[in-house]
Amino acid sequence: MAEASEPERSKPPERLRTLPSPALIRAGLAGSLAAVLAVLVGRPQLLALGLPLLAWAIIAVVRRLARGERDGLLRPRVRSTGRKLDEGGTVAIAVDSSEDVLLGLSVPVPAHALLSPPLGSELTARSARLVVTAQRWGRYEIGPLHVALADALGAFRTQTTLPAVPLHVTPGSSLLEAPPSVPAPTGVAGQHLSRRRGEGTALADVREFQPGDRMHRINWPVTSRTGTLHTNATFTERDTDVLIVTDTLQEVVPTDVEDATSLDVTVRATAAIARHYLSVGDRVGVHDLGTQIGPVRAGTGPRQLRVLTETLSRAHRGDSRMSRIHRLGRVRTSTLVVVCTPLLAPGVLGQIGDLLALGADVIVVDTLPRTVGDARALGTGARRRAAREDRYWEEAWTLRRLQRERTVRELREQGVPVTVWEGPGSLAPVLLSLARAASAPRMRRS
Amino acid sequence: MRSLVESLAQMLVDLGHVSRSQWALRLLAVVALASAQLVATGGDLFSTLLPGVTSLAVIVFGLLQSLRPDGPWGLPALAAPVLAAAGTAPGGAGVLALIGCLLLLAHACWSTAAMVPAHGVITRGAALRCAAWAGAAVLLGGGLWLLVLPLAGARTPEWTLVLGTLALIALVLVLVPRGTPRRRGR
Repeated sequence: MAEASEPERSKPPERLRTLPSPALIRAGLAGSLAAVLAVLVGRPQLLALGLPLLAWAIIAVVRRLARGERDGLLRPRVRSTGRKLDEGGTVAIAVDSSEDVLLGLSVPVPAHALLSPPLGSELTARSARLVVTAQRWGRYEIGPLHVALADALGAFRTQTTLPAVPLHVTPGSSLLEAPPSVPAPTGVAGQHLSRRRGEGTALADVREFQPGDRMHRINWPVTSRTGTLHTNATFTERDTDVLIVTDTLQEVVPTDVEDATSLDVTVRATAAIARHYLSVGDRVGVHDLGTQIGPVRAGTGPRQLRVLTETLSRAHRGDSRMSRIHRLGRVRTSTLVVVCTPLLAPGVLGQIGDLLALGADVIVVDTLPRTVGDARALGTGARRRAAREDRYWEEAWTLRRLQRERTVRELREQGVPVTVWEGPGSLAPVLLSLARAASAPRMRRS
Repeated sequence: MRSLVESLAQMLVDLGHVSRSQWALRLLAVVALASAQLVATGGDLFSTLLPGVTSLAVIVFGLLQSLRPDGPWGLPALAAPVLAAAGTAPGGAGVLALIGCLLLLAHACWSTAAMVPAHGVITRGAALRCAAWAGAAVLLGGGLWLLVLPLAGARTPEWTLVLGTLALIALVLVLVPRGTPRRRGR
């Protein structure tokens, strides 16, 4: 487990002054009442009524004196098993006291996280443990941690508030179910099959031997059959540039807050696409048209994946203001550009047109949540609630979705594939059709 | 009417959030307090004025205190059976000691429940620790009782004095901390 912070560890242990609780006062007064009555009535037996309560109060006071707890109790420490976790992952936060005390811990229940104990409050002896399961990516603040400390009887107590424990939850680690092929690889060496001939493994042709050909490429069966030396020609294998363009100009939030927002879908899609292409050795970068994610420079390898997932997990959630579009000025020809967008802002369509004009292979991933503007949901519970409040959000979103269908159709007519993000299998048919289209024979126009 | 129904519904939802351990502790406190009053009044809660008033006080203040264990209503709730017992003289020292123990039980339950909010879970370790100290209080109370009675002039066998002193010594030994001696610096 990691300590809360380095400066906290170096400080001398802080003591929290304890005060008598209402329970101690109650026990003392109720016990004394019995003693007073015994004296007034002249019946010593009445003392038996109050002696247990008095004894409880005496034990509390003597115990405090004997254990030197007059100076207060040591401030508890916070430990956690980690600060970074994957979506759906679990982390344990422990609050420890080095003394023999009762420790009550209460934490406000954070959104989109499960706690154990379920409502984040527990009374234990000496050490309390809170297990947090993050259900969504992003930044979490677990706390502030309200801690009540008392002696073993609950007669003297104190309370303190410890700072919240920050957690970074990276987007889910689902692997994209897509072929590694891209329409036009542009790099020097990699795993994608290109249309250029050169050093590689995929057979392109069997041709006559030419000076400079390598000996191990000679095709001996064909040579013996024809009587002249023949060699195998192969296609080269290259890497490519993949640019993921994210549209975070506005976060579209469904009626049910438990459903994924457009930003959730965008982040999950971006993480899955980046993971897929980085795993086959491509260079992957991110350009954010809005401001919620920010740009990530193109890079390759596991480090780039780490940088990218951390940037995604730091995305600002819940900012409903429409931000200004940050246009992408230039892009290398034949770069594979995946635009993750809910297709609502007109500026994004202009950007897609610019990318096509620059020679990029563009794929659009539709990130508008399915439940937003779903015509089938009209008249259900959510709609009835909204109608009672004289609001017609669902109807408005249904109309907006219908308008959007025209945009999608126009994009498809211009040769831009549009696919709805429905998990790791979403991109496979689109990539296959792009690769097929790239290798298909073309008609020369003069 | 609508707001009343909504507030009642909200109250029911809030009750659903109360943890099992809190329910158990608060119910135990109410039961212990009611039992103490029942014993103090000799089983007839509303026979005359004094038992009637004190029984009413036990019901009202006991429930209020169980709703908010950190509240101030525990004192009148505990005082009511004491007054009832002083007024009605239900029996000998044994019966009075039983009432005292029941009052201590109610008090310890409230004291433990007050440490966390109503939705807070109380672990077995914490509950056992509180129970152990309540047991120690009963022991000490018994020891004090055996010491105080002869001093008050009541007729008791001489061995009770010895037993009371031994109980006190045992408790002092339990209370004194036994830490390991510090090592001298090198």
